[in-house]
Order: sequence, then structure tokens, then C-alpha cells
Amino acid sequence: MDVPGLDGNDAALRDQGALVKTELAAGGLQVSIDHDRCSGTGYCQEGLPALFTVQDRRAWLREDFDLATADREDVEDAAGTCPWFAITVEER
Amino acid sequence: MSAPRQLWSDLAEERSRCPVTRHEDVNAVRVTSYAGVKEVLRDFRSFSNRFGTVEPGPELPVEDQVLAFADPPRHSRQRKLLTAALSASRVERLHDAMQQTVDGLIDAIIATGSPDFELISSLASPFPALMTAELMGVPHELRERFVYYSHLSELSTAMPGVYDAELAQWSEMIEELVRQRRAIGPGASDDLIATMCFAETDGQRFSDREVGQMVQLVNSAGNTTTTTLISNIVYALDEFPEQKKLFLSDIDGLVDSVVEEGLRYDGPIQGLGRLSQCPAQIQGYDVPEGERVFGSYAAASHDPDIYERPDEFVVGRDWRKLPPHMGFGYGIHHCIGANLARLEATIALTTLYKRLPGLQVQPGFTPEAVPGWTFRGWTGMMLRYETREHS
Repeated sequence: MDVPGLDGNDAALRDQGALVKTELAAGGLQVSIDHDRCSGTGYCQEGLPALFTVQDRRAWLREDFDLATADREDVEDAAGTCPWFAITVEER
Repeated sequence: MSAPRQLWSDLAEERSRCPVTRHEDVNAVRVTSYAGVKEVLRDFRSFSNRFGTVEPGPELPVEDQVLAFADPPRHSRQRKLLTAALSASRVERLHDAMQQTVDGLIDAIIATGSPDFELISSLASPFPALMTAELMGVPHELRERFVYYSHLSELSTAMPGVYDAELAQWSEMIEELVRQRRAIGPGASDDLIATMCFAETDGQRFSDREVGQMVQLVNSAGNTTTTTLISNIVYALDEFPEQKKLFLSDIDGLVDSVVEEGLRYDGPIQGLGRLSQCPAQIQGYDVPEGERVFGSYAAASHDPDIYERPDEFVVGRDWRKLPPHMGFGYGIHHCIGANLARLEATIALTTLYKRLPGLQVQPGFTPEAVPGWTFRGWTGMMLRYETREHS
């Protein structure tokens, strides 16, 4: 399809080799996504695209995100927008 | 309030001229840009749901403030419980029952021997209603009546008061189902009514009235919307024959994309209202306290700032890169039946187009739009397919 944004050309991050996961921990913080609850609204990705990415109607965490130096409030704000309560941010 | 089905070109004209302004026809500040609708739906403190969302009026009695008719923190408590019961994985368990139900309805269409049938009454309406009854654990012998009452409750949004006697009987039926589950105790069943009866958040359970109201709301908000989604997509595919051809070349591979585009291109909810709780602003437009605000989801999902070729039905948009459409609303009230509706629409469309060759809108048929500002759908949809005798 010759329409910008409709081509689907940039392959899923996952296809480039295990770059996404459902749990990420660093700097005393753990973020997890419950795929039983996630319904793929994409609000987390809108809020913090450096951390969250939506593929196949599920949100994933990008492994290349530097959680250790991230602003905790930014992470919590993006997680808090999930209307399916699928994202947990905890200290560990 | 009644209005003809709004044309995309009219919505585009309004959006480009003044995307946030008061309109006497809808008696509200109408918002038609994606950014504006999103701003309203995000700001749930300024724009409340507990005064109703079809025609916001007086504050609803507290026991009627459920889900779409509630604000946080009450809303969050109710929603947390239901999201678990309506998650994608829980809904997936209904897959086989859904397939059987659709196959049964299509068997009945084929059994008539006629190449012509009306989609809504023969499949698009009974299917989601039966699945909701299944999800609720309504006993088989009560299902026909349950579905009938549910249908009346939806009609009553357009004709308040007309069906009060029947709807009182529906409430009694639901109260009885609730009483039975409470009497048996937790753990006996995992249907949605039992889940609501015994769910606890912060040590609190829902009252019988709250459960009853939620049961009614899940029906009235979930059934006709899914009916409409299915029939709107069937109609849209015929409006865009190239896209239909593409879909038919790989039904299983493209059906998810077709459903998603259906939700964006012609979702069942034209728009919903809020009531402002304080002086507020939408995209810089001043809204006084106590004002009705109508967010046009249809217009927002067609905003050219967000979507290429907004007024075309395009199979295969890359939703990983696009902002979420407003087909399920936006924000804390994101449609709680989204997973259910997606799966139902997916199964219905896949099965219809696989089992009924040459399926199309009956040549010469012009559908009639559902009246009112809330819904965007058709009152009937005559279809034709190639039976063996006619092909």
C-alpha cells in the first residue's frame, strides 16, 4: 500500500531479536505487563514510547529502555493510564 | 434529539471550521477533532459521567452510578473487577461457543433456501445478545426472554418510559439470578453475575442493586453496539470493493485489520456526552460549569491530522504506528466489552464470508440510518449470496 503510515514496513521490534519483554527490572524498579489483562489500547505507548510498544494487540516493554536512570514518575504516569489495569510498577 | 446520519464531509467541514463549539441541535458543546475529544475524555475530573452520557441531565441516584455512568473512585472499583472477567484471555474461552452460535444462525439462513436475508435480525442482533447471556450464566430456558428484555432496554433509550413494565420484569429476573448465586455462595460458578456477586475490592462487595445495574448496562451497552459493528463493516466492505476483494483474498489473515478499521471508519457509537463540573477549557475554548459536552467519536476517528485517507475504509493500516481510534472511546472508560466485541465481530465476519459465497448488500437496497446522536448504524441490512440454485 503506497500510503505513509500504512505500509507496515518497519518490522516488529521482536523480529529484530528479543528486544521486548513483559518484565523489566533495573535500579530498584520492576515494571511488568499482565498479558491476560492487556487489551492493546496503546495508551502506555502514547505516554512513554521509549519504554512501551504495542505489537499484536499487546503492550510490551522495550529492553533498550534505560529503566535505571528513568524518571519513576514518567513510568508510573504512563502505566497509570491503562484502563485495563495491566501494568504494575513496583520497587524491588 | 434526532438527526440524520452525519456525512463524513459534513463532519470534516465542521472540524475544519470550528472543532469545539456549542451546537443547539445537540444542545451541547460538540467536539469534532481528535485532540479535542481526547482532551475531554482524559479530563474525567472536569467532565463527568455520573449525570448520564446520552443526554446528561440530573445526577443519577448513587446506586445507578455504575461503570459508564460513574466517576472515579467508584468507577475504578467497579471496573477493576469487570476488566478481569472480560480480559482477552477470559473472553477467548467463549470462542467455541461463539463459533457454534454463529454457525447455527448461518445454518438457519441457508435452510430458508433464499439467496436474500436480513443480516441484523438473522445474525448480527441475536448473536451478541446470546453470547452476553452465556457470559452472564443465564439459564437456557430464560435466554429468549432475557434477550428480548435486553433489546427493549436498548429501544427505551430512544423511547423513555414506553417499556417500563417489561423492564421491571427484567430487573426482577436479574435480581432472582443474583439471589440464587448469593444463596449458593462463592466458587460454584465463574459466570459474570457470580463474579460480580462475590468480587471484593477493599473488603467491600457490590450491592444487589449495583450488580443488577451492571448486568443491565453490560447488555444495553454491549449488544446493539456489536450488532452495529458487524453490519456497518459488511456495508463498508461493499462501499469499497477493492478493499473487500483484498479481504476475501485472505480472510483469516486480514479479519483483525478489517475489524479494527471498521471500528475506526464506522464505529457504532457516533459520540457520547459529559457534564462539566467546573469552568474548563477544550483546545482553548471556554466551557462553563454545568455545560453538556458531546464528543464526536466518529469525527475524531476521521481526523485527517491523525489518519491518512480518513474517509476511506482501508484494510491493512499499521495500528502499531497509529494513535488509537475512538471506536471504543478513550481513557478510563475505554469500552469494557472491547475484547468481547472484537472476538464476536471477527468470528461473525470470518464465518459469514467463508460460508456464504458472493455475499453482498442486495443490489438496489438502500439502508435506513438509526436515528439519534448516539449510535451510527442501520435499521436493517438486506444481503444476498449465491445459493447453489442461483449460482
